[in-house]
Amino acid sequence: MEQRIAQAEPRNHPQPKVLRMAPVLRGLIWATIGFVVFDLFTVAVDPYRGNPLVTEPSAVIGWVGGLLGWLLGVGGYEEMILPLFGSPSTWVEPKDWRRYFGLSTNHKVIGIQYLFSSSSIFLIAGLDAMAMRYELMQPSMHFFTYTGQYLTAVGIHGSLMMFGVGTVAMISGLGNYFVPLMIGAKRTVFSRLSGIGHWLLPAGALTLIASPLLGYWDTGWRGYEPLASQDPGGMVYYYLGIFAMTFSTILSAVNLSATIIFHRAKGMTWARLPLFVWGILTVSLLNLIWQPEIEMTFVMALLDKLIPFHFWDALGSPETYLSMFWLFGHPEVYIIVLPAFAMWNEIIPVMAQKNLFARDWAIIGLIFVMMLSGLVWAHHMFTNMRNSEMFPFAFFTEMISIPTGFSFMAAIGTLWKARLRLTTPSLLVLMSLFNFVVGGLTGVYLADPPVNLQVHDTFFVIAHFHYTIIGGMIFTWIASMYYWLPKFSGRMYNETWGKLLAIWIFIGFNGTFGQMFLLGLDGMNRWVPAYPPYLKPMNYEVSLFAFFLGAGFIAHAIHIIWAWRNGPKAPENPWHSRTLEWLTTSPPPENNFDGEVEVVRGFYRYDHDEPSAYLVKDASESQ
Amino acid sequence: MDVENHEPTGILQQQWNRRQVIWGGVGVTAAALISLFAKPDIVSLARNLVGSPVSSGKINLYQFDYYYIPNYMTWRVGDKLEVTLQNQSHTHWHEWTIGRKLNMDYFQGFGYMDADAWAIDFWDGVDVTLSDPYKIDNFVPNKAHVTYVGPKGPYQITTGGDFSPTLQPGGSLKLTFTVPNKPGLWHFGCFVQEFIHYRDGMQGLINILPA
Ligand code: HEM
Ligand SMILES: [Cu+2]
Ligand SMILES: [Cu+2]
Repeated sequence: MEQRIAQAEPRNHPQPKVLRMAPVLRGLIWATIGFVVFDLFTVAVDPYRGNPLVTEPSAVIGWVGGLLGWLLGVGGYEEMILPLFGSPSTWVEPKDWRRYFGLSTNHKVIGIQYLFSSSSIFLIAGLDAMAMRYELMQPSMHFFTYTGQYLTAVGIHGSLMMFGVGTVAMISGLGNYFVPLMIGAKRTVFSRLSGIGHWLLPAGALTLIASPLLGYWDTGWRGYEPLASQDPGGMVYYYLGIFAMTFSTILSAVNLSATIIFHRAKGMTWARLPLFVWGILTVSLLNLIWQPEIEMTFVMALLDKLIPFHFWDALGSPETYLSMFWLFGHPEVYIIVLPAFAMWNEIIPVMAQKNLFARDWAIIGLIFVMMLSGLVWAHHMFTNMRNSEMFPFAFFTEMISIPTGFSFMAAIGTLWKARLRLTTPSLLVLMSLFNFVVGGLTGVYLADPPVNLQVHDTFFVIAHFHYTIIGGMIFTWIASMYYWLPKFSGRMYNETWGKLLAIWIFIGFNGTFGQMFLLGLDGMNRWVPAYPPYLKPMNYEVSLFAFFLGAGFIAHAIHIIWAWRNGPKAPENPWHSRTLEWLTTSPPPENNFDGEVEVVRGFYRYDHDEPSAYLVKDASESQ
Repeated sequence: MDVENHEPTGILQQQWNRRQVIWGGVGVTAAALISLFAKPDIVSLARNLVGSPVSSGKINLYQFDYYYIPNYMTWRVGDKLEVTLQNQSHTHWHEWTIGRKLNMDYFQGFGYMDADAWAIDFWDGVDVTLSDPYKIDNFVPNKAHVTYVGPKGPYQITTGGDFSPTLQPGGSLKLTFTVPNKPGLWHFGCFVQEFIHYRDGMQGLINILPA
């Protein structure tokens, strides 16, 4: 039937425009132009003594220009600026592989962009770790020339890993891809914002990587003041790089929490919300509280450096920075592991085909970890305080193991007497549970002031937090990648290789970080490129294990990429999972579901065969 | 109903190919790695290509955290120079030494670090006049022949180490001298705080041309 629809003729663009350059490349060129223009402008209006072309203030303002150029170049100009001034957006996303190289508003594309960016950052920060371990193979300096070089490597490694991998891979990556699918939504609420948010991540990572161009900095990932105020100019790119990366996380948090609140399918009550979605919701709230806090701290620190303000040196209050940093810094570690906790309880019931044990308590655990996480920060400052102040923080820190235990116990309870299918994802989750217990138990020791004062800033601490972060989050991230691979690609990985590689990284990981506990107890300090020679044999061995581990991560990446493209075709729902993402085709179509999703019961019961949701193609079929 | 799929005219069509992305990416990565790891080489290459003008008369030398502006100068033997040294840092003490042969070979975590001075001090036997002192922390004349103009009070003349005026934050000092017959490349740097300033980049180069 002929339909007449009143439609205004597009006015502004009589000729179709053609973009002959990939948006990422255009972004880089515009970023360069933006930097140069803003930098020269700054130098022109506020010339520095001796007129150098790049000074600390001009590098900061130039960076703003560079960032604007980058965001406009990747598609922000057509998709954000033109509509802002009333013209129609001219941005049309390509439907093929090209869509991954520019601004996208599709949550699945954005999710994959995030996964790719954060895997690349993982690779770079990992190579950086290898350089550090190479240096530590000998007791004296032999690879890095200056201590500042080593410390910059440590700082870049830590910052990239925390702000570009830990906070990003599972939340912005897997979260963007799967949250809408798991709640039966067709799209996210703020899809444009989310699309631009991704491009802040590579911008921030590149800023951090470029920081040595302005000088080595030696504060590690915490940017400690007043130490930082003694550092050369590279410090400003630390602040700016993290600013961009955390901003990306904030945009993800806004978008994902709004999507979870407003875009749930019919029947998707709070009581039925999947575990992973709960994980993303709690973590997004954490992000919304704490990322702005640390951003403001860093903005203050940046101004302190450029002006300077003396917030935190002898004229101000040197310990305030410690508190401001750790007020965020401790929640940050929960931001990293909460999605992993949630994912354990997503994968285990499916693999065991068994009801999730104490589902409500698993969620209450997530919520209480979220609430308590802001109360423990001073356990990082035991060396800076009076004995009487230590007790409350030791107490709260040990308290937090209780809600953590809820998530853990839900997993253990589900495993109890289960006939678990030992696939690669379940194997990796079991390994992750084991590693996290080691990290958690040593964490309890570190929360005891007498132990803490003994091993503070030694490799014992390094071992502890790598156990929680790599052991807890990275292992689970890889498990999730295998678990969802058939959904991403419609293809299956090779089970033998998957398991072999899982065992590989398990051995590599425990060989590396298990020995670091002993190193720490033996007196190996952190943040030093040279150490007493009696520690050499163990350090040498740790480095060998570390190289083995690094190769294992790369092998996993290669295997997953291979399976994504060439793996054998996977069945529609290979794990017999009941959550909604399996209700649609693999990979999912543009709008996720061709019909309306209607949820009728929860997803974690395997004691009956009733479906948990229906796909309603026609409104009259509705139940 | 074709309305939804109807593509309006005047849209942005993307026409670019895989090769462009790959070569663009490779090029950008290469450029980034070069600028990250080969910065000094690029600078000296540019300097060789463009050259650098010979300074004469009055020179301003600024000290920042942790660099000098300029960090490269060309002088000519026999020229009369007046260098105004100014510490622009808000917080840090900085010095100025010129010399050759820095011994860095012995750096070991628990060994000794024989690297707080030059083996050859440029100012050895040079006639130099110091004037307009302001906020001077200390001054080591070493083997230079020094004339002091103006108040002697601000100087805390000490011994040990190379010829080195050390300025407090905001301090300044004028050094007047004739470039001695010591052609070739000379390094300058600040060794305050156990060498850390030097290692953090507080160094520079002087190319002295024969007369
Ligand atoms: C191949 C695996 C890894 C190895 C061999 C490794 C090794 C190291 C080493 C040697 C240090 C420096 C210790 C010091 O001197 O203070 C370090 C610090 C650190 N690592 Fe890793 N690491 C790895 C992966 C990760 C991952 C996956 C994360 C987080 C997602 C991470 C987060 C950190 C952080 C936050 C620091 C502290 C940096 C700082 O003090 O500023 N690392 N790592
Ligand atoms: Cu903590
Ligand atoms: Cu200095």
